[in-house]
Amino acid sequence: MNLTRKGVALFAFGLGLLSAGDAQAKKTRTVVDRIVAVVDSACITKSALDRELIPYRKELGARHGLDADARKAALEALEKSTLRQMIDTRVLVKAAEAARFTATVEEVDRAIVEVASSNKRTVKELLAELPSLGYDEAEYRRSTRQQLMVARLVSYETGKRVAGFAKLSPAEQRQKSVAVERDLVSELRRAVHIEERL
Amino acid sequence: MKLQWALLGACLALTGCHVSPPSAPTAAQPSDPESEPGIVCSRAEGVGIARVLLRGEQDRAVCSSLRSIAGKPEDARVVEGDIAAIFALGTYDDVLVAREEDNGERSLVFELTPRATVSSMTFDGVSSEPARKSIAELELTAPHYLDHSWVKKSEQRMLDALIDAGYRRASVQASIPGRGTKETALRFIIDEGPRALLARVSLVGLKVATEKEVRAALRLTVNEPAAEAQIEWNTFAVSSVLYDLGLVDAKVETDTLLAEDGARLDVTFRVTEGPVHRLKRVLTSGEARLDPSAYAPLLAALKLGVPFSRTRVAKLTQDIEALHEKSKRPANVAPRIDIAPGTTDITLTFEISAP
Repeated sequence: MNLTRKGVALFAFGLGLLSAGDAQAKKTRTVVDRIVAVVDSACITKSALDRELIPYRKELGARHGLDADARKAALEALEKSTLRQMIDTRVLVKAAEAARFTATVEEVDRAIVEVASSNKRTVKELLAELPSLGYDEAEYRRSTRQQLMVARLVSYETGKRVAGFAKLSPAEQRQKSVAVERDLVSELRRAVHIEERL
Repeated sequence: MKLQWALLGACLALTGCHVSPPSAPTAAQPSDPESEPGIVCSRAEGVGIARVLLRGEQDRAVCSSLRSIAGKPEDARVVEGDIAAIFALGTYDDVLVAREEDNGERSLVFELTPRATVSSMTFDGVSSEPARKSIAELELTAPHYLDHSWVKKSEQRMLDALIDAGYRRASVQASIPGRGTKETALRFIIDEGPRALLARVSLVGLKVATEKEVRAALRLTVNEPAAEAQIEWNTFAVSSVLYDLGLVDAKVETDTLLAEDGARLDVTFRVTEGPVHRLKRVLTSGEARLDPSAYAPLLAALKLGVPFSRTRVAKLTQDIEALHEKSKRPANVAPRIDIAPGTTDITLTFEISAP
């Protein structure tokens, strides 16, 4: 079969279309990360939020009977509540640092041993599981240290705000601590600039 | 990536051609706006990120805050750290990082939204002189960039200053334009409200202590505003008087009552005295003690059987420290009190340790 001039032209035009399409396909833009919240002069990124969401996402993935819309709505609600928790943690850690509450390396080690033991694991096993939860060891240690500092702040505030705290039953003490932490968070939130940008 | 493989194929077919290994990233180069959409912080050939770009900023100084670098693979943790570092500079309202691929060349683009600059700062709604003075004494200076955190803290500082000056119903609200504006006039809207002056100071629950001796310790003036810190100081002053009368279990609670019109403030100190504790024994302990007889003249100043006095103990603690200094054996002296269960008898022990 002989190629006519018109045929060659059409063939060339087709190639042109193909290459234009190819070029378009090669130009892509993907958002890698962005700010999803601001707490005073610090920010929380989408990737940090996504890391926090890893265990919850797994849980959500395992839930049956959810259609796509319900799953999306559940995920959005989860993102919002997790972001608020992260903001609350930031606010509490900031207050604990300002009040000079600290936690030593030994205390962090002991806390990790306790967490491992309460989950029926060795420390080595627990640390090995961290990547699947979105943590590395240094970050997990930092987070544990912050939790200890916050626990101290809350304990100090509870002692100051609840008369006769030491005489309460363990259950009542827990209840009071939770209430004090909630009040403390709302007081601290009022004193800092917070923006949610989900 | 496809392009690289294509080039590799072409090179294999031809002689004298080779594919360069990934080169070291070059330092930030001046960008050509025609060909470079943004400032190039680093550029490299080969694997990993080909270019790290900044958009929304003309100053390449920001590049020095970045750990993301061309020639290395993209790292989510590094990108996250870079966002935090740029945001912490305090000059950007937003930072977004995008990956752009063009013909197999990958660019990591940091898109920056600069904060608005503050063109002016005003305080509206302050009409009385004491309110004006309390705000002026804060010496607030407008920041160059609009910093929401600074604005929030300034609102609180102004509110605290107004409350301390007696404007207990004051409110302060900053007027901030929406994000994205380049310049803003920062405006604080202040409603000072009425000024509350101290009308009455009451003491409730005194039995052992007399009102006269407690009032003598107070530093509150009727017809003047009473700041929260001042009221707190006076609460401690009341406690101190009680502790010096042996009332070591005493508790003092403070009620402040603001009249409905917001112009009158009543302060009530509610005292629960508890029993009078008396000094039963005085001891010294610790490895840094001098010969016990050295303390005898000082300890004799504390009469046994009299109500325990914290001020007297504090004075004696200083005297013992001075005695150690004088003896060229400096020591830390810490008083400890023990109360025998079911009694009001106090055993006072000065614990003396090496510094």
